[in-house]
Amino acid sequence: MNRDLPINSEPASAEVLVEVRDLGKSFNLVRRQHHFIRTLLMMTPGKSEQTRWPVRHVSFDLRKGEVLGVIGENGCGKTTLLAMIAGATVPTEGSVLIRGRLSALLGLGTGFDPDMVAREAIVVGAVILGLSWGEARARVEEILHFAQLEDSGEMPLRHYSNGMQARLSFAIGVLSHPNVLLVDEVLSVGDKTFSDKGQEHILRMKESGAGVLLVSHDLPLIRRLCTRAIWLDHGAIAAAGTAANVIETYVDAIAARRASI
Amino acid sequence: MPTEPLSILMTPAGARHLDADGKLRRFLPRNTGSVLWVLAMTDFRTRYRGQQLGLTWSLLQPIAMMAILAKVLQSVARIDVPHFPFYVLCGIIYWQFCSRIWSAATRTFFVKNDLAKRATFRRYLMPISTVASHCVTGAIECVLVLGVAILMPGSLHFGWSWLVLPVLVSLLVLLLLSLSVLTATLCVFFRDIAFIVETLLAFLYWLTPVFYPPEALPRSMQILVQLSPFSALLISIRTVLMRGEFPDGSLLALDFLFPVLAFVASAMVYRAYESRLADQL
Repeated sequence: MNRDLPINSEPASAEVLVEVRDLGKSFNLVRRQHHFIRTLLMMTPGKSEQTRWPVRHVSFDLRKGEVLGVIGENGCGKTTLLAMIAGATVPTEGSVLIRGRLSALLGLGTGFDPDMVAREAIVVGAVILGLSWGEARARVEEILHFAQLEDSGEMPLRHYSNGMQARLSFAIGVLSHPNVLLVDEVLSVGDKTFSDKGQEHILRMKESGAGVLLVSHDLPLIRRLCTRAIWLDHGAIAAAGTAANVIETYVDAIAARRASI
Repeated sequence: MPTEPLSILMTPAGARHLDADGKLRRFLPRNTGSVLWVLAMTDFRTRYRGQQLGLTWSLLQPIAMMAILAKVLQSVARIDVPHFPFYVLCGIIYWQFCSRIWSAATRTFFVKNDLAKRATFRRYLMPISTVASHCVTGAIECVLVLGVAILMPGSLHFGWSWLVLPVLVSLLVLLLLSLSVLTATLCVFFRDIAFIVETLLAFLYWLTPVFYPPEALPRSMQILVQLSPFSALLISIRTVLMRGEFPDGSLLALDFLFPVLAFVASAMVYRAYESRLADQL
């Protein structure tokens, strides 16, 4: 497979797992407060005075056996982009096509009740990521082992450290064996051992033909793991290509920006 | 409806399953049942965690209320309903069930904000799971009602009319599901809804014949009672349980009317707001 295909290459083949086309999301800034009665009756929001687009006109493909890095400064739209691909929020324009099952680790924290013990949380988490109840239960031990939490399986999550929680949610994400995995900054939290293990697993998923979309500020990590990368700037793709090239462009541009201030 | 999509296309119109022949279809993710199950189970478990008596509390309270209400009301007013304490108990259990569900489900998206924000499943499953987990409590309370009925011989009147009970209970669940999805969705956009529901419940508590027989009211007031969406079903269920009779036609019509209306309203509101739900959370 030719790795140097341009990022917006058409037509989409079966090799493409995620097809993002002209994707955009807008938020209304000014009118936060809806007009209660009017909205209730007409079921439409009033016209808003100002619209912001955290992401707009974004197109790219994620192919089989590929780890695609997404880099960019805080507030550039990475999280919104991932939320749209994961299906957690509806795009305002454009489309996302996903072939196969997707599992998304959106940001830190697990979204679990702190009173839950780890074993329960694993089942809940895996089901929410798309497994059935039976499949989730069959993987509990494997996930605990991967997260190095065998001894804390019966401990409520409120007693977990941030690192332990991140390990848990990462383990649930990768061991639900998705075709497409979205990872938002989860790898950078655990200790060295776990981080290495996570990276190893991502590479293994890549070998087995899955696709991984990796969002991180950790540029060396992106360089190590990713075949290609995109740089998201103010909600649009500023650069795309091989990970090394994109990172270089990004670092240079940021340095230039800082120099001009 | 296909349940295992090979590919999903997400557009501003929502997520659709893409067929092999390129047609777009609505779909339910194949693990929807599992999602509902884990959400309901966690809700149930966390509700009673850290309590020694747990469920027992929701049983002791109605009994205490039955004892005092039946005694006081019978002394204040001349109420000649046979087995009045049991009549009151049915009302209280019924009301507790309805009001707890409606107020808890309305706040679902706030209480579980973290989950709601990153949910990639259909979000209406969250209020539905709250209703489902409370239904378990409700079922256990029904067993209590039967236990009390044994202690008060004659309060239950068996008959063929008991065959309509499953229908009435299903209608009640449909009513509560619809109201819950409706207010939970609206509540994300207008936070006042949670308080409106609480106020409405306090108001409906008196309008619904929980602890008084509607026949004891003047004619004009009896029509008012029927304005409460919970009235007709309570009267019907009590007619079946305690008299062994079928509810009459107009009552049955109301039993169907409110759940169906609520369902249509909630479906319309949910579909209108679904796409903007995530951004407001």
